[in-house]
Amino acid sequence: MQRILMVGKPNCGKSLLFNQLTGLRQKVANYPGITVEVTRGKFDKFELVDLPGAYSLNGLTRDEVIAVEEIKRSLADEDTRVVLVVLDATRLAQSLILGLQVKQLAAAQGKPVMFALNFIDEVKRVGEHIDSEGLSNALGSPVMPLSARSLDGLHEFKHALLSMADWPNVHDNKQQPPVDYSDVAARSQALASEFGIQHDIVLKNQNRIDSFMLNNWTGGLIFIAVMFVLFQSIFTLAAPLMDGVEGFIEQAASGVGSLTQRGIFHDFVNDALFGGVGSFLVFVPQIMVLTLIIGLLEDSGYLARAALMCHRPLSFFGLSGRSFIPYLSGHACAIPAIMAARTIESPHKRLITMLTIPLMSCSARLPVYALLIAVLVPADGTFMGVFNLQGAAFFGLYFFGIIMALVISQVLNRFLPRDLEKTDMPFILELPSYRLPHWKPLFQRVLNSGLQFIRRAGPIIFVVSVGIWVLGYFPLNASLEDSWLGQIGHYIEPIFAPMGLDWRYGVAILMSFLAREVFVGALGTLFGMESADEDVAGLAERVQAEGLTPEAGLGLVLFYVVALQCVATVAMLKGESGSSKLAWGLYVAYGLLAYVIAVVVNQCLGFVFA
Amino acid sequence: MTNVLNQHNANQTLTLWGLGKSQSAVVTRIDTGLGEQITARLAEMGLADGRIVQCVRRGPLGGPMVLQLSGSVFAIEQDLASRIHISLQP
Ligand SMILES: Nc1nc2c(ncn2[C@@H]2O[C@H](COP(=O)(O)OP(=O)(O)OP(=O)(O)O)[C@@H](O)[C@H]2O)c(=O)[nH]1
Ligand SMILES: [Mg+2]
Repeated sequence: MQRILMVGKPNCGKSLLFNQLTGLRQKVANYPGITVEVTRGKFDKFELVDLPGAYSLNGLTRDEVIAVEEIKRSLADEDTRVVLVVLDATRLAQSLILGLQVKQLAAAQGKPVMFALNFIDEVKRVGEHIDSEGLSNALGSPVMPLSARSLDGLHEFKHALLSMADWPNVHDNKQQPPVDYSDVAARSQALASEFGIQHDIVLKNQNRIDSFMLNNWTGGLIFIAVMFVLFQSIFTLAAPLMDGVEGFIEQAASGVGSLTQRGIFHDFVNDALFGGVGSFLVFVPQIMVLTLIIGLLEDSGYLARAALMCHRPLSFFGLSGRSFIPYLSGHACAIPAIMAARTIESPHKRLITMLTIPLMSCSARLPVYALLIAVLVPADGTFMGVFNLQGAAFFGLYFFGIIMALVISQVLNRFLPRDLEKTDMPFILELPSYRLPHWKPLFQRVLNSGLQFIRRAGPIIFVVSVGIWVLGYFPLNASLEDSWLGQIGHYIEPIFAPMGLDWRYGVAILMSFLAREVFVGALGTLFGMESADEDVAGLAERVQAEGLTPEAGLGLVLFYVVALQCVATVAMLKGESGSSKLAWGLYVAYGLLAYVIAVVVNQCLGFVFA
Repeated sequence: MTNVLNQHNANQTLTLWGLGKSQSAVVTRIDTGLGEQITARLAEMGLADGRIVQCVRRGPLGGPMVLQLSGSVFAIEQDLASRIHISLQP
C-alpha cells in the first residue's frame, strides 16, 4: 500500500492527528515520548504511519532511534508518497530542526513534504497569528495550519494531503530546488523568529505554575499529595461503584438460581460462573478509576515535572527521572510500561527499570489486594481519624511494591554487568505546557480499560473456574476434600503450610502463576462449592468465617506484591531485553522471593502474636 | 548566586551548573568529552558556542536545572550542565 509518513518532535500532536485521520485510538498524552513504536493505520487509501517523536535525526534515546531508522527506511522506499512533518506552532524553533532535516533528506529522494502546523488553537488563544503562507514560501513546501484538538483547519488539511499524495508525478519533482541547510539550528531559529509567536506569552503561564510545582517546598508537598490521592482514590472513589457491581451480580445470581432446578447445572452456574467469574467482575471499577487518574496526570503536563523531581533521588538507586513514567504506568499494566522504558537515556538504567517494573502493583493485582484487605482490615476503621483504613492499606501495598523495586534496583545497579558498548546519554527532558485534559478520549480510554480487562482476563478466569469446578465436583457425591481437586490439593499442601495456608489457597496460588487475576476467581469457585448456602455474596466474609490468620493473610498479600505471575510480561521482557534467560530468570526469582517473604512474615508474626 | 561567586573565587571557569535562577549567560565552550553525537544534539537545541542561555529555575533538591532554549523549556542534569562552560553576560 502507498504510504504517508508522519514525523515530528516529541509531543507535537502526531498521535492525536493520526487518531483523527485514521479513527484509531493510539495513546495520546502531554508528555514527550509517549509513542515508542511505529504504528500503522489507514487514511483514505493510504497507509498512515505514526512514529515516535524525535528532536532530530541525531537520535539519542531508543524511541528516537526507532523513529530515525524508520524515517530513513521509508524515505528510500518507493511506496512512500508524502512525508507529513507535524510542527508545534507554539514551539516552532525546536519543531523545525527535525522538520528541516527531514525536508533535506526528502528532497534528495525526490519525495514531497507537507507541514502540518499544529496547535493553531493555542496560537489563537494567546491572540497571535502565524503567517503560514510566508512560512510555506520560506520552506518551499505547503504549510497547513490546523489543530488536531479543536479540529480547526482539519478539513482543508485532509483535502490538501490527499491531493498531494494522489498527484501522479510526485516522484519526479526534480525541479524542486535542492535544499541544503548547513546549519539547521541557525536556520530554524531564523525562521522561528520571523514567523513564530512570542515565546514569552506561551511560557509565562507555564513558568508561573512551575514556580509552585518545582519549588523546593511546595513542589515536594504537591508531589507527595498527588501520589497519595492517586493511590487512595483507587480505593475510595471505586468503593461505591464496586458495591453497585457486587449488588448487581448478587441479583443476577439469585434471579438465575431461582430459574434452574437443583442439580449439577444449578451448582455449575452458581459456583463456577457467579462464584468464580462474578467475583472478579467486581474489580472492574477500580481499574477504571486507576486509568482515569493516571490519564488526568498524563494529560495535564505534570508527568514531566514529576520526572524532573525524581531524577536525583532515582539516580541514587541506579534509575533515571524518566523511569518515573514507566513506573507510574506499570500500576495499570506492566506490558506498555516496559515499552515506555525506551525513552530512558541510559541503556543500563533502562534495563534496571524494565526488570523492576513488574514490582509495581498492576491492575491485575487489584482484585487480590481488595479481597485480602476486605478480609484483614475492618471496613469502618480510620487511620488517624481521617483516612479510611482499608484505603490506607491499599496505599501501603503500593508503597511496599515501590520500595521493593528501589531496593532491587540498587542491587541490580551494583551487580548487573554494564554493556560498555552502549554509551549513556544525558538526561534532557522537555517540560511541556500545562493543559486541561482532553475529556472525550480520556473517557473512552477509561471505558476501554474496563472492557479490555474483562476481555483479557475473562476467558482464562472462565476456563480456570470451570476447570477447578469440574475437578472439585467429581467424583460425584464426594465432599470437596475427597474430590480429585482435593486429592491434588493435599498433595501440594506441604509447600504452602509454611505460609500458614491450606490446600485451597495453594491451588489458587498455583493457578495464578498462569495469570494472577485467576486467584480470586479460583478461590471464589472453591469456597462457593464448599459452602452449603447458595448465595454467592461476599467471598471476603467466607474467607473470614474460615479463619485466615492475620499473619498468613499479610504474607499472602505481600506474596502477590512481589511475584511475577504474568506470562505476557515475561514475553515482553524477553522482547525488549533480547534475553530469554533474563526474562524467565526474573519470573523464577521473583516467585522465590515472594515465597520467602510470605513464609518469613507468617512465621515471624505468628511467633509475635502467639 | 553564592554558587557563582564561589566558582569565581576558586578561579575555575564557570559552568552552566553554576548559573542561578533567572540569570543569562553566553556559552563559551562545550566539553569535548561529551562526544560528537551529544554535542551536535546540544547545538541543535541551542546550546553551542556563542549562544545565550537562560536559567528559568533551579530544580528542587539539587535536581536538574530548567533552561529556556529557543522558545522551549528543558530540564538538564548536573553531569551535563557542568560540562558546558559559560561566561556571565555583562
Ligand atoms: N490544544 C491542543 N492540544 C493538542 C493539539 N494536538 C495535540 N495536543 C495535545 O498535545 C499532547 C501531545 O499529543 P500527542 O498526540 O500525544 O503527541 P505526539 O507527537 O504523538 O507525542 P509523542 O508520541 O510523545 O512523540 C496531548 O496532550 C494532546 O492532547 C492541538 O492541536 N491543540
Ligand atoms: Mg505519539
